[in-house]
Parts: sequence; C-alpha cells; structure tokens
Amino acid sequence: MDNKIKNTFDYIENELNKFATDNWDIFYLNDQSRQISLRNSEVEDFTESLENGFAIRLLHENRISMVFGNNFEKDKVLKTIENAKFILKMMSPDNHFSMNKMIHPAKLTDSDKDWSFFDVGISDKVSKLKYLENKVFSEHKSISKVEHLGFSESYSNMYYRTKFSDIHEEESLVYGFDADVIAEDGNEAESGSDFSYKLCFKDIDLDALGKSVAYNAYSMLHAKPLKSNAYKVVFRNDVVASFLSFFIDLFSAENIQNKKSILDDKIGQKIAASTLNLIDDGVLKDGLGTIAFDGEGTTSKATTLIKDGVLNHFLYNLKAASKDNTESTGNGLRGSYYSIPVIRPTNLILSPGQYSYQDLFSSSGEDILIINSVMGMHTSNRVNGDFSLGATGYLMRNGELVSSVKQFTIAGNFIDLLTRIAKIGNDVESFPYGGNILTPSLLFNSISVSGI
Amino acid sequence: MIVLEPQFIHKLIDILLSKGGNFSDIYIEEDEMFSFVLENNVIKTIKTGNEGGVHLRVISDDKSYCAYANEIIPDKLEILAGNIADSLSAGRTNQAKNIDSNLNFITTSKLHLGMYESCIRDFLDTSKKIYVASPKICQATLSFSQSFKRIWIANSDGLVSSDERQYSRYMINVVAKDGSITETAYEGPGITGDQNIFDLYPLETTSEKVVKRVLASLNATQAPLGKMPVVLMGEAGGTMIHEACGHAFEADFIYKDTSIFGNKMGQKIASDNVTVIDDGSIPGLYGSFSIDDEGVEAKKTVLIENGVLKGYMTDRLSAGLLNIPLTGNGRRESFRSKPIPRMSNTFIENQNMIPEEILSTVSNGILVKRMGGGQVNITNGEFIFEISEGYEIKNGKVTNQIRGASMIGNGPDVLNDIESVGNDKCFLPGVCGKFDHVPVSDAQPTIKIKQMTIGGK
Repeated sequence: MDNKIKNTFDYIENELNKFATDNWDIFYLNDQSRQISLRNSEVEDFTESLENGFAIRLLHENRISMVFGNNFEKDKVLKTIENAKFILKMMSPDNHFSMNKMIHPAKLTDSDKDWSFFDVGISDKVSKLKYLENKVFSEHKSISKVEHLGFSESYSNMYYRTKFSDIHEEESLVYGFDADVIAEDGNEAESGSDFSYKLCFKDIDLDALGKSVAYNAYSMLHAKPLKSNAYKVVFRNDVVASFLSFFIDLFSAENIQNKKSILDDKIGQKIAASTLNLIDDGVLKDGLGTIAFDGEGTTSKATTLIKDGVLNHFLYNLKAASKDNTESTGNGLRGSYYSIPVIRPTNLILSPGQYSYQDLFSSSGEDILIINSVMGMHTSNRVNGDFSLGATGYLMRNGELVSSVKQFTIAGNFIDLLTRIAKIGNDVESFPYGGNILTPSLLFNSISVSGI
Repeated sequence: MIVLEPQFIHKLIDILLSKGGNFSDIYIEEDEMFSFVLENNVIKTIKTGNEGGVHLRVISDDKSYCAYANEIIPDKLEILAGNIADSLSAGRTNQAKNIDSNLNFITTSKLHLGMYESCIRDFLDTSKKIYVASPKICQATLSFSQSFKRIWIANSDGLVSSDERQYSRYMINVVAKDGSITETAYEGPGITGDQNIFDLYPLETTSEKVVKRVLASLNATQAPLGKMPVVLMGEAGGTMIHEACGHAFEADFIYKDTSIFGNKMGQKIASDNVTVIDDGSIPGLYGSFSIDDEGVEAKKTVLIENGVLKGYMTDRLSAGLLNIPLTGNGRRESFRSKPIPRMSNTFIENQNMIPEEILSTVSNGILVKRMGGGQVNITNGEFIFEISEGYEIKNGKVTNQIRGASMIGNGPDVLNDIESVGNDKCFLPGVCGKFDHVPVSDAQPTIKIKQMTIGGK
C-alpha cells in the first residue's frame, strides 16, 4: 500500500479513537482512467484522470453518520470528522443501523488482472479505434457518420477497514469500447449504438462490435409504423438487461420493508414462468461486478432471487438484514467515495435456456415482433412494476424480416411479463448497467402494442 | 487559502501548449454539500462532504485533450499537463497571453451544519402531516440538498475569472394506494443564489400540492389511445421544449451535423407564434449563473423568433469552429468533464391567449397538467414523455383524469404543430443529463399541439 494511503488511514484512526463510538469505518478510493474518442480517423478527445477520496462513517448508540472528502490536509480531515460527530447527534436513532466488525473477503477464482494493454502507448489504443471505425464503415454503404467511438480503461483500488479490522483492499481494471453511429438513406437518418466492456483486453471482439453497432443503425432505416395489436414479442438481450437493471429495485429488501415493492409477501410464491431462474452472484468468475466484499465489508456470495419461477430471496445490505433478522447478501454497494452504500446487484444472472436467438422468432404461421430498443425506461414505476415505453424493432414472419418498425409503445407490468415468458434464449451477454447484468433474449406470449 | 501565482499559471499553460493546440484552459472547483433524506417519518441519511479538483484542457482545431485530478498539487498538475501535451501529435508550439492576476482560492467553509437543525425538524413535522392526511398514503420520502460551489478559470487568452454558486433544492415524493391501484406524485423546487428556498416555496404549500395530486390520481381512468390534440398547461413546465427541441440548438450537434436544425439559420422551422429563448442570466432560476464554466458571461439567446431559427447555443470550441457568437452555454457538472454546449433556462415565450381560451377550442383531446420523465432520440427527433397528471378534454371542458399515459411525437413536427400559445409560462427546475448532469430550468406557457400520439396501458 502507498505510504500516503497508509498515513491517511493512520491519521484518521488516531482521531476517531479519541472519542467513544460503537464502530466506525473508513472507505478509500483511488481511481485512474483514460478515455480516448475518435472522429474522422482522428483523436477528438483524450482525457486522463486521477482521483483519491475517502468516506468515514460513525456508528454510535443506534445512530450512523457519513461524511466524505478528497482534501487530505490535516485540518480539513479534522473538520470532516467533526462534521461526522455533529451529524451523529442529528440522526434519528434506529437499532437496525449496523456495521461489520471483522471483514472476511470471499475467495475469488478470478483470473489475474490484465495489465497487457493499460500501459501501452496512446497510439496503439488509437489504432484499435481506427480499426473499429473502418469495420463500422465497411459494414454497410448507408453508414454515413460515426457520432462517437470511444476507448476507456479504468483502474480502481479500494481500501476499507472498520474500527476492529485490518485494512482490506480490492482492485479492479476494466477495458471498454463504445460506439454510436448514424446510417442515412435519402431523407432518413437513424442512429445505432453498442459497446463491449471486458476485464481482459483480448476478450473484446472489435469485429463483432463494429458489425452490431452498424446493424443497429442501418437496420432501422425505412422503419414503418406498427399497427396496434397483440403480438408475440422477443426482447433482445440488451432490452431484457435494461428492464432487469431498472426493476431489480423490486427485489431490494429495503424497498420490500418500506412497502415500495409489489413483491412484498410473495416469498415462496410462483411469480414467473417456471423456466426462469434469477441469481445475483457476487463471486462469479471474471464477472464485471465481482467483488470479494461489498461497500459495508460484507463477504460477497451468490443469492438465488427466483428459483424455477418461485420468488426465493431478496437483496440485502446490513440494515435491511437486521430488520428481517437475516444475513446481508453482500449487496450494500458504493458507487464512489462520496456515495452511501445502497442495495444494488453485483452480477445479476438470468439463467440461459435452450433456444438460440433465431429459434425465438422462427416459428411459422405468425408474426413475431422483436424489440431492439426502448425509450423512457426511467419513467417506469419502480414500486408496482408498470411501464409504458416507446419502442423500435423488427417485425418477423416465418423467421424472415417483414420490416423494421418504429413509433409504437409497449405497456404492461414487469412482474406480469415474467409470467408470460414462453422461451428463454441461450445468447447470454454482459451489460454493465449499474451492476453487471448477464442475460439472454426472451420470447413472450402476447403483449399489446399501441401504434397506428 | 491556496494561491496559484501568475507565473505558475503561465508555466502550466505553456506546458499545455508546448506541442500544439490553439487554446488551453485551467478550471478549478471547490464544492461543499449537505443533504438529507427522510422516509417513514425518520431520517434515513444525512450526508455532508467537500470535494474539488482541477481540469486542464488543450483545444487543437476541433479536438480536445484533457486531464483532471481531484487534488490541487502543483507538481502533479505539471505532470498531467505534460501528459496532455504528449498526447497531441507533435506540432507547432503556442504560448499563453499575459496573465496578470493571481488565482486565489479562498476555501473557507460556507457550510455550517448548525444551520440545518431547524430545517430537519420542519421536514419531520411535514412528513408526519403527510402521513395523517389520508389513510391511503403509504409512503412519503422527503429530501433536501444544498451545495456551495466555487469555480476559478484561467485560459491562454489571458482570462482569469471566478464564480460562486449556491444551489438549494428539496423534493417531496408521496405514494398512495387504493386497492390494487398505486400512484405516486412529486414536487421538487430548486433555486440558485442565497435566498431561502422555503420563503419562495414554503414546505407546507408544496406538501399539500403533492398530497392533493396523488390522492386525485387514484381516481383516474385509462387514457384513450391514438392521435389527438394535446394541450400542455403552463404549469407543466418546459420539459418538452428542452428535450424535444432544445438539444438540437446546441452548437456541438450543429458542428457535427447531427442536428435536425443544422443549415436552417434564418429559415422557418416553427409556427409563427413560437419564440424560444435560452437565458442563463435570469436571477435565482435553477439553471442560472453569472459566468459559464469557461468564464463567458451568461446572456439571453434567441433560438427561434416568431417561428424563424435565429441562433444556436455555444461553448468556446463550437463558437470558434462555426464562427458564431459566444452565448455563455459552455457548462459542465464538475472538474471531471470538459465543458460542452448546454442549455440554462430554456423557454417558449408568452403570447396573448389566456389558457381557458385555448382549451375552449378543443373538442376531443388531452390536457397535460404535469409532465413526467421522457426520452428523446436526437438523430430523428422522436420522443416519448410520460403524462403524470393528465385529463381528457371534451367539448372544450376538462373532464376525467387519466392514468398511465404517455405521449410520443417528433420534436420538429411539434414546433410546426403548435396552434396556440398562452400567457402563463412557469419555470420548473430539472437536471439535464446530455453528457454529465447540470442544473437547468425550463418553461412554456399553455400551448395547443394539433396532434400527438397518446400511448398507455
């Protein structure tokens, strides 16, 4: 450990032990990242960053307080600690506030961190972007512009301890490419985007990314309005991921306890098709969301939320677990040093089924609608699961494309959707949507669509 | 207090421009914040902290090379500046113009926790009142946040400037339940400046409004679906003008030729009665400031005048590239991002009609009194917005409330489809997430749109 970090911990520990507390914790984050974006074969943007910051929480007599800062001058740190003491007095007491005493990091089976590309020169990174740019343009004659083509690499190192524990460390390193392109034909313009984030640089397939981002744009040209009707609908895996990312809050024990989820009282009940299994796995090998312990120092593990269609368990942090007299599932996560730990998924896995993506829409004799993007997800209701979204997609007949379609809305309820799953695909991909979501595409029975 | 002397700023800028580039700037920020959240009549969290950092940038033609760090350590800044210079392809060397003033960072704290004790007590009282207002109310979440932000800017043109900004905002979110129906409603007033937000938007008035709205919405019925005329009330705020039209006037999209309004300067793009303005200089509004995040004074910019496109919103980079005026719209969330053209307070200007007169012209349509969230596809202008409080209009009269409805349409089409414009514009605060998040506000008077698609359950 860096001397500066060690000294910061020592200084804060020394100050915190000057007054009575039941427990305290210190969270320290060190981030380094680089981002490069390309336009017209030239670097349009280059950003390098360095960040350090800390958060302190105090627990005393059933009250908890949190303060943060990134100024390491002694008088500033001291003022921050004074603020923590002051806030402690203002808080409402709650005997469910709790902190871990000791930290037992989970034993991870992750591969070694891939440093192979982090320290190579900028020109090598730029040439990968140029390769991707060429790939995108060569995919289809209608691709007219690359709006954004980006590379990012971010390294972060987190240190955490409580009053009673040693300092524990967690490292992460992620590489990613993202792209946003425009296809034009006549007066029509459509955009398409996609990305790929991996822990290992060699796992990023730029050919596949170039192909899919171009397809997302040009395949929507000349899209037609869709007639209002009830359709069998396929949600492409990226669409399923945006649903899961938004509605995972229904599985948060804190929301259940606060009557902010319709899954209240439903443990042990069948809430989904019996083919559906949903698991949050914090120790998944090489998962983007894999951690040894969470932002409260709880050991990471796997939790089955839905087993064969039956609601099995919720996601817990320490406070919610205390209320339900159970154990935290290790889902008290901090977004950064200035964030309070909140219940979020680590690696949320919708277990794959037996069908290929094509199988999902290839049955004969009926129209099947593939949804490839939805708009307005954040306007959905996190409490009761209702949604009403703008959507675009492809209308398929006998497995063949009839036309791409747009300007229609799909509306319904997330939990109701889960009961309508007819087939689960095997095309699992990973989507870092505020937690890492791993999901295949899904086919649903009849969903009503409002168009023209 | 930290002082960066003119010699050091000069040296830093020289390093930044040592291997090419036309312009460089240094942006420094110090931020103090306090926030709390109440749920179930108890304080759920109180959080306070400070943070700050520095952002260095070189502009070379249409390209940006940046670095940021959250500590202001001169040696480290020199290294970062060197890294930026190295990332430019070796070219001509540029130098800073004379810089003759210090950058003085007076970092005495403006935030004293004692000043929030009575505020928390008031929120606890309000929360209790909400829960007893009706047995149908099952959840109330109240939150408050205040931040004090100070920024300092120096650039290679010799500019040295600074600004202080104070933001206050609170939110009340209430969930009510009746049988199987669950509805939510919220209000979230926000201001800039040192006025007391509770003098302008009393806690009690706001909470009564939210309670009334959530209880009324329990009695709403399904919305009719299909294409029909839509009246947006003034009190609905200007989310649509911001989202569905405003972004297309941002000059970075114009330069990149991805805006539907590129090459349309001087052309008719909206109905005659539509004038759209962005003005960051209106005191107290949530999107206001005295200088933008590149040191350009906030000002009023006419985007559309009587239906004709008159101007775009710029930052330094896009104004330079397009050779159009600086409008003071170069904004960023923090030292972590470079500035880009962003809206401030954006609105459709008032005309003469009174809202009742507009309503009376609709035989069959939808009245929107409160907008929810939405999303826009910037490339083709298509959008969806949730209607969080809406009613059916029949024969010019407002009838039953509707639920679960959303409206979809196309920004440029809507501008041409605005039939009438009222006299009652009303600003609502918001947060724009174009790239990072900046505070904005938007407004429109009551307007009638010829037709839009209403979707829903």
